[in-house]
Amino acid sequence: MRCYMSGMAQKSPPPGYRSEKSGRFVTTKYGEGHPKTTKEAAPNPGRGDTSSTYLRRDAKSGEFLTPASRPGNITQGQADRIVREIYRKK
Amino acid sequence: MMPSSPKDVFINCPFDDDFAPSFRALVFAVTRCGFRARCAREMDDGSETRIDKLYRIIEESRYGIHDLSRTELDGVNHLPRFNMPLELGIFLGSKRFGDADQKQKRCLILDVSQYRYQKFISDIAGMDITAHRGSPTNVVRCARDWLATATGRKSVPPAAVVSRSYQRFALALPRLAEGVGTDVDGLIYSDYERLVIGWVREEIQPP
Repeated sequence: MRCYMSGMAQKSPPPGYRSEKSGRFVTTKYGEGHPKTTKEAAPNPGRGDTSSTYLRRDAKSGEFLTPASRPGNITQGQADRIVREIYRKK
Repeated sequence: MMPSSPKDVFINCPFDDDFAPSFRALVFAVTRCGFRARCAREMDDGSETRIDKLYRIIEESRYGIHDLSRTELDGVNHLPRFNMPLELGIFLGSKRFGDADQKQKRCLILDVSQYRYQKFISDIAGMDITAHRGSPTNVVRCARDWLATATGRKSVPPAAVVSRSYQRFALALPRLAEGVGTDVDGLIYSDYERLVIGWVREEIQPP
């Protein structure tokens, strides 16, 4: 995309993000072709964060699953219902 | 600077499997006492670097609970873990050099025993270190007592109430995890936090 406001063409940075895994800038296009290299939700071994839950990858894409995309995530409403059912049985 | 929230308690502790029961106990105690637990595990924004996320959470939290239990060498790499002392340092720096709001920060420093810190982080000598001896029940007690003292809030429940509440919750946790479709070890942080909030709401609502 170009900017003509000042009469000079300005180059926009390529779409993408800095990988927390490698520290390198990963373009969206490269990420699409190499999904295993791009996930941001990498664990933090410096504090012992190596649990299998945190490292879980999507079976199809091979990407690390972010908290928002991990299967089994529940809403507060669902949590309240689960709790209510068990709390009132006890 | 962002104002810190007097409801937010930053939890800085190891995330390894051995500490997991104590971590869960800490999150429960903070929530049961009427505060909001904040920790590195809540972070999911890939556009923000890890240290920036930590700066943000620490800035937003009036209170902090820091556990320095994991100073021994890692079994795999034979290196110590520096993240917890680093985050304690950021918290103390924020309190020391921040604006008037940040200067109101208060923190609790936990370790397995009371004087061990003198051998690895003696610069904090003079601060009160609370020993929990690695027991989740003690962790709940330490966190509750400190929150009651540091915040001065009359709304913090008595120690016996929080302890009993935690024991009931810990007993029900395997069934709660089952309700989410996993086991206790498989619960991710956000799900665990929501279950805790749900449990506390259920306990404190009038019959």
